[in-house]
Amino acid sequence: MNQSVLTDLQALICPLVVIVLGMIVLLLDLGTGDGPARRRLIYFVSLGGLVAAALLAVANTTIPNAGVGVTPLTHFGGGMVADRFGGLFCIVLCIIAGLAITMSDRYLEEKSLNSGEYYALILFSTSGAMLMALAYDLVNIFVGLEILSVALYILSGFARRERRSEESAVKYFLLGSFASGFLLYGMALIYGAVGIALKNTGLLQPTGTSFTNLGVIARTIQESAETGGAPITASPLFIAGVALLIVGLAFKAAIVPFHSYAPDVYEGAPTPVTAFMSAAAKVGAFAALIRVFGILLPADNASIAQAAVPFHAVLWGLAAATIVVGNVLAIRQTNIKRMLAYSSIAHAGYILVGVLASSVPGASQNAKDAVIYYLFTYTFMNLGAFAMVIWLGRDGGEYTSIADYAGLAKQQPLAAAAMAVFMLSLAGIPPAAGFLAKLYVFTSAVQAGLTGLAVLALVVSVIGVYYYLNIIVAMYFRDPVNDFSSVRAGGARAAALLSAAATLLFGFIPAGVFSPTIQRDQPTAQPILGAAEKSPLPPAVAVVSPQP
Amino acid sequence: MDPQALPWLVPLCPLIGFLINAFAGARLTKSPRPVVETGPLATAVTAAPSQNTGPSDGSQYDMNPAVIASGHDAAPHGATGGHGGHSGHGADVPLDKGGLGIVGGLATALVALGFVLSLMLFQAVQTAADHRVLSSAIQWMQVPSVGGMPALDLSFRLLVDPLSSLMLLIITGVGTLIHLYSMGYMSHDKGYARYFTYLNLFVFFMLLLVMGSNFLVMFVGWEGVGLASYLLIGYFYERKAATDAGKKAFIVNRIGDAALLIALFLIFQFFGTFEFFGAGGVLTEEGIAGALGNGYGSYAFIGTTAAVTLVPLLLFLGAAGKSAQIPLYVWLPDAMEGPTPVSALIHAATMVTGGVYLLARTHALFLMSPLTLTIVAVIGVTTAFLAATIALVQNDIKKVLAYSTVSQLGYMFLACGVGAFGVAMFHVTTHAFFKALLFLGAGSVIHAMDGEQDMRRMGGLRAKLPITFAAMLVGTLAISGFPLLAGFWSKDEILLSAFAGPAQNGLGSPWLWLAGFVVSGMTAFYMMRLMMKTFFGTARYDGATANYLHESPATMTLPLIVLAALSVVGGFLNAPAIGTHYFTDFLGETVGERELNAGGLGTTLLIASAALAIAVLGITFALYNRKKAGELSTDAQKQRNLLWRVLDNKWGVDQNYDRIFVRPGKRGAMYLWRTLDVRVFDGIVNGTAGLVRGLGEGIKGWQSGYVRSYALSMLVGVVLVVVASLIGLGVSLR
Repeated sequence: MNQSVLTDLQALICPLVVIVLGMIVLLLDLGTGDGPARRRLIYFVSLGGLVAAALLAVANTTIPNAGVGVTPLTHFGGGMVADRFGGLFCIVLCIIAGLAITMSDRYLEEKSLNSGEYYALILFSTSGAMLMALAYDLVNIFVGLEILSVALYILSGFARRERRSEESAVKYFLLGSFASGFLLYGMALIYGAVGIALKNTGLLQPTGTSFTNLGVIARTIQESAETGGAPITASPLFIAGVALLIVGLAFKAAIVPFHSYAPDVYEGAPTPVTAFMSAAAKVGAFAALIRVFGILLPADNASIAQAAVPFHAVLWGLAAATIVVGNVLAIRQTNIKRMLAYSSIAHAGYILVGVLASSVPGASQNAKDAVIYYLFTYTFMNLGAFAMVIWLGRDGGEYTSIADYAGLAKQQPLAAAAMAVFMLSLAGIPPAAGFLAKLYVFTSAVQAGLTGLAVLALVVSVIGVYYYLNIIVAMYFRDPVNDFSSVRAGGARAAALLSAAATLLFGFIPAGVFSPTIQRDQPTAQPILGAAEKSPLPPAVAVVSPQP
Repeated sequence: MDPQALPWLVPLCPLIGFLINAFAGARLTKSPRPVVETGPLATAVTAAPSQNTGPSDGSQYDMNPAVIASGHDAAPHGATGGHGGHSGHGADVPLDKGGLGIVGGLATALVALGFVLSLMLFQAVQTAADHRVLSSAIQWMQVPSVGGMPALDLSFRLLVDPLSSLMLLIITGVGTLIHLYSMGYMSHDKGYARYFTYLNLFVFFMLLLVMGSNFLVMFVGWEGVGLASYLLIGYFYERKAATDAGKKAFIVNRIGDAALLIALFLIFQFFGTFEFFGAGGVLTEEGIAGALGNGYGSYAFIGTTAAVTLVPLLLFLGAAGKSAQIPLYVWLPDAMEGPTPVSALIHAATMVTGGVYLLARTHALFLMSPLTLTIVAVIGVTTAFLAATIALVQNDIKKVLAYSTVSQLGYMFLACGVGAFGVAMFHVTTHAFFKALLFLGAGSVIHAMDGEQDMRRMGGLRAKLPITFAAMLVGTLAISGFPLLAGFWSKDEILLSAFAGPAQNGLGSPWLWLAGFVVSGMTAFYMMRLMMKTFFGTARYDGATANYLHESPATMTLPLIVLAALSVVGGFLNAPAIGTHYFTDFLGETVGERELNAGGLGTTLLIASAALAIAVLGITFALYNRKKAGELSTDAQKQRNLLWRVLDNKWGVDQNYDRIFVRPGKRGAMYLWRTLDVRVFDGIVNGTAGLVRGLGEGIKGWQSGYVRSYALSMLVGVVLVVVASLIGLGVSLR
């Protein structure tokens, strides 16, 4: 028993470290005063802890993903799972939190905001997103989502002396609660559908597990299909439940038409918070979406491969609408934070194309890899772009108008070059990493037979080139209107340059841990996520060996 | 050291130099500028903050009309304010001497380090299996097979074999000398850091070009050197002639590059890979066999032509653009608008030989098509002839050398066309020595005369510039084929190959030899003419220039001396007549070299060449030595001479291109602009923009800022999603 508890803890080491780290940061902040030395201590403790957490998560990336013939290594009574997929997402989340904290130092000082609470909230929020990626039970996904969201609500309003910040927090909170309601309702419907199916097929409810456990659901789907009765995936109750689940997660990922909060919240929230939430919330939501889809709508398993079909049209429509609306509205923006908000909506649309492709048999594996790679590169280019805004600000303010950046190249050539890298990468121009990300996602869409959607996404993404290049034109070809000779720099500069280097590096060397190519190179590569497993319930708690 | 990492380090050197100078160079070289007043956020800075370098502040350095009108049409310092009191521009921008040393020294040292690494690779290649050193591969992108096309699998990888090792030594070796020379030559220029930034960028891309282990990396380098060349030709961007020349070079090269790109597409279609060697590589026997099975030989193009001909022909067209061959040679003479060291490095020694390298690299494809090879030989020898004739009457010292370069490149293509790729590479090597020497010597003259390039205003300089004179004399003798100097051996081998062709390929012809032989005589004439006009006779410059004249500093004369020495001994690398074959032995199979079959004829031809060179050099010397003014005939006599008019008019090629291609092109473009562009495309674009705007207006309504309307839109979305899913279920069950 002790052995298995230790194993459980080891499998979830990354979020646990981050949560404990958040508590330590809070404790460090309890002492009197808020001197620079304390700020620096908290800053570096947070960053060091995140590096440690990321390194610990690396061990988990060698655990094969659940798939056909591979039993997932679940923990805590089947409620959590440790595998390569979850490990990769944990690493991405550590990077997001690390970059967000790195770029916050001078910003918080200038605004005289309490750094201990701030960093702790970022860390708690990160742990929530990690739990979403590691959850193997719908309830745990919900818990993770709420940990993520509640911290984000507070962070949005963290600059509480500013009305915009307050407004964005209230808006985010109200609409977020609204969306959580739908998510929970969807889970309840699935719970009911699974329960009915278990009763109808005469299967006993396994002790100690719940109808919301993904393993239970997977087995129910499988067996309800095999026993010849009406499969659960054809039950309207189940379909409506999954639809509402999509809605709840789509809100967090800012998918049209559930995106409307995003521009207002992104604009009003403190800039480092905007950077953090534009990536962390999306990563958490897409991790959960892919995880849930892989189980509820298994594409890899031939006998029930058609389960996802009812959602194809919906997802097609959501992806298309998101790409079009995000790009079209981004053009009109004059505020760089709003522009980046719409741009991140458009990117959510591209990622959704990959998620859709992952539900099609045959293309599933490549599509999942492509989505992970996309989120990984998106992290660097999007956080980098926000870090630029912080870097170039000063005196507690930022240049938020795109026109403000005119002539930047003459005064700060390095800053302009870094910004150009982010814009080119976001636009998907080689050799920046954003190009390969788009290439992989669109290729997987074509493989999945979604040529029409891929073409639409490509054509509309050309609009994106316009508003991204607009900034480059301003920086390089317009005469300066502002003086950038004294800028905030500090951690924001470090974060931006690091991100720019990563964006270029991963454009040249995509074959890192996140690369789809790794998967193809290894003939024995394990699918990231899989279909329903056939193991007896409850899923065995296996001793995990971190070696491959 | 890990042998797989070593190749990567070579291009890394100039890349580091480029990055450092690009971001820190301007700051290092200029004296601290006045501190701009720092106001609160979003304060408009009224004064233009940059009074120093940077492309946009060119307006304050207006062109000096006097400089343009007086025929100094390529005077580098006249327009950008170099020497002393001669021209006042830029005097308000004091350059930081220490900073100059750092910027130039760093750039030079990094290229020199590249040379050391190249020597190590040279060593490694000789002991490596198959004489190939492959770097580790960096996997780039992979696209699975779609629609019958092979799966795309691209990776960055470098290959060093004898052929690329040779190019490495030339690029980094000559490159180091020219960097060193530039430190003196450009020391008065306000764009010093920008210059070295571009120069390092060029070296980086040139190394990629010759080191790529596949067509992809090679093409990146190919386009990169085009970019660097464009930037450096237009380096004096305040002069319209320079920017025009840059554009011309870029556009003419685009034509060749388009052909090259099509060739690459075809190669991918038939070979399914871009790799040169390795399993199924394009240049391997299995690769070619596989491609033939894949329809490479029978691919019908307009009925009859097969891909075996089409692919090398397109490759050659690409090479003709880069290496200035008919019909795409017209950009190279204009490229002399760039700084003279650039002409030496890019437009004589390295980049323009990229086309020859391409042919030598892909000789396996060329040897499959005798038709293409014949076209290459004929075009090569025609270019050599045409350019040599134009060089006969040029008065600008750099223009003579530019046409000479085109002519010598023609020789190299002649050698390729008869299948003697190794001989072509040998001429690339010796030509790099003596042509770089001649350009640097010309640069030294121009530097000494404060930007004067017209030989009619020179004369009698040999006493004032003794080192420059001696060095250029060596270069002249070498290029003219004076016995035992470098050009003698390499040119003789080309002529011999042209006569007979390497064994059993039947590509040689006495007619090719004859044409080459005549060009050889013309070369001796125009080079001796250049020497006589510049260094002999009476001084024809004004008093101010006379006071200014000085021999160049050591940073400039040292490279001259080294290159002069190489021009003397370089030929002995491969002098069959005296029994040395180091060069052929080293290149070996990488260029498909075979024995020449000229038999005893070789000696006869060798003596004929030597006799011709000595005779023409002597006669020219005698002719000009009698005319102290440096002119053999009066202007009136020249004007009456039809041949002179044709040559002075450069055979009318530029005018005819202008008449046939450029102006109709412009007219067509205007027509298309007025009809298709304004009416159709602008209509579509404006319509789309209107649509997008309208769409934006429409959607913007949702973005009211009120939470209640956001919640409503979400609710609508929820209903839509749930209903659509249930409908989807119904459809899928049916």
